[in-house]
Amino acid sequence: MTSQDNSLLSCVDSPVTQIRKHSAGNLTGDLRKVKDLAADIHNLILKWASLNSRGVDIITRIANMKIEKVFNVQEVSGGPQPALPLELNPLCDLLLDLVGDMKKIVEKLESKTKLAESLVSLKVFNTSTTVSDVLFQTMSLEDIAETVREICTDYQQEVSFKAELCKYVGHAASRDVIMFYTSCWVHQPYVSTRTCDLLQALLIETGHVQS
Amino acid sequence: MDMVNSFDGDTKGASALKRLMQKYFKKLISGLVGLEKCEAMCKTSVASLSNLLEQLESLLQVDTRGEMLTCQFPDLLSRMQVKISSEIDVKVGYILDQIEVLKEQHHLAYKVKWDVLNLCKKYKADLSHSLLTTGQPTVPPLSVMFSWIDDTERLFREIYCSRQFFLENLMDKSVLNSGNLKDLWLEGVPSLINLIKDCEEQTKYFLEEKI
Repeated sequence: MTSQDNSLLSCVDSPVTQIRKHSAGNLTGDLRKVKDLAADIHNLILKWASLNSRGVDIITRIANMKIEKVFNVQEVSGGPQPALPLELNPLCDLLLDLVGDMKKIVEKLESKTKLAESLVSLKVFNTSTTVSDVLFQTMSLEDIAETVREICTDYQQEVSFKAELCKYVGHAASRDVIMFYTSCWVHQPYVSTRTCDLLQALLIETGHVQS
Repeated sequence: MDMVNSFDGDTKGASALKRLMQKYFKKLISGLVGLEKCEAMCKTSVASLSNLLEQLESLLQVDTRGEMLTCQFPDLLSRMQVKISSEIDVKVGYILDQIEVLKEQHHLAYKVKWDVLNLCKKYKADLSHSLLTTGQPTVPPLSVMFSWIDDTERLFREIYCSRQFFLENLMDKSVLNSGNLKDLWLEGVPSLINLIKDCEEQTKYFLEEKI
């Protein structure tokens, strides 16, 4: 097809929002902000993962201590549950501190969500339309804000769950319960696989990861 | 005695049998390193699978009455079940891929077994009882080598099929649980590896022969 043919075809105006072609130069405006936002969220989640694995070590030590010094002793003696060992205290404090750090990460995620929502509001204010263009490949600014909100919601739920878990872990009543608490920490029940997919989608969309 | 000439007096049938067995034992022995490596990897994966099963068992045994965390988070148990089950599925898929090597080795042994039987039928007149049962100081008799082929075929089949059965019945308490999985998994493996090592040692000179 010749270039003349192409120019004829370009006269057709599609109502569907078109992918914007970006030059190889530096990004500016919304594109720059969204790309940085995606990178920040990715970094925050990496920090979360690192804190979570530190938490796994601590909670495993708590569980082992409970099994060794409480449940095993109780099984041998056959009497009531012995007093909780004093060594549990510093471990529970460590876990609480860790959850404090996780809360800070969630606060940062919340501020990133607000930023994404503000970008949408600004766009609506400037253009007076509710439908915005595709920013990178498939997502509009609203889609990006929705994705960030969903990611943030899961981590908010998970951190409030972990904060509660910390309160009960030292007082687990049986071997099964302490095992259950440990696996709850490891598997992060409120961070769904969808959240991981959304983050991956965001990174692919913004070009941080090649699909 | 020059080993190269030791088979000069062989009949056509005996030579064909020896060539076939030589080819098989070379393949079997060269696969030993891969098999041991695969077994080591499998052992780690099975330990991890057993740990996941243990977590699932504790989850199902947790007495939710009076358990505060599950009262505060009513969807916790179901979320955890979904999370652990999906991890178990991923692990099972990975292990199924790893044990494919056993299936391949079984196919090889099975094919050779039938080829040996067909050669015995074809050269019935050529093969006397004494020819099959008499060995040399450094070369085992053909009948012994045939029994090795038969044993390896049986062991590969038994190990592969029982493992598949275990993986298909992970949730069936009458078949297995987190406690017996590791032991059941290794059933037959030491005998198989000993048999292959035995073959390697005893066929050392036989494999160097030019038939």
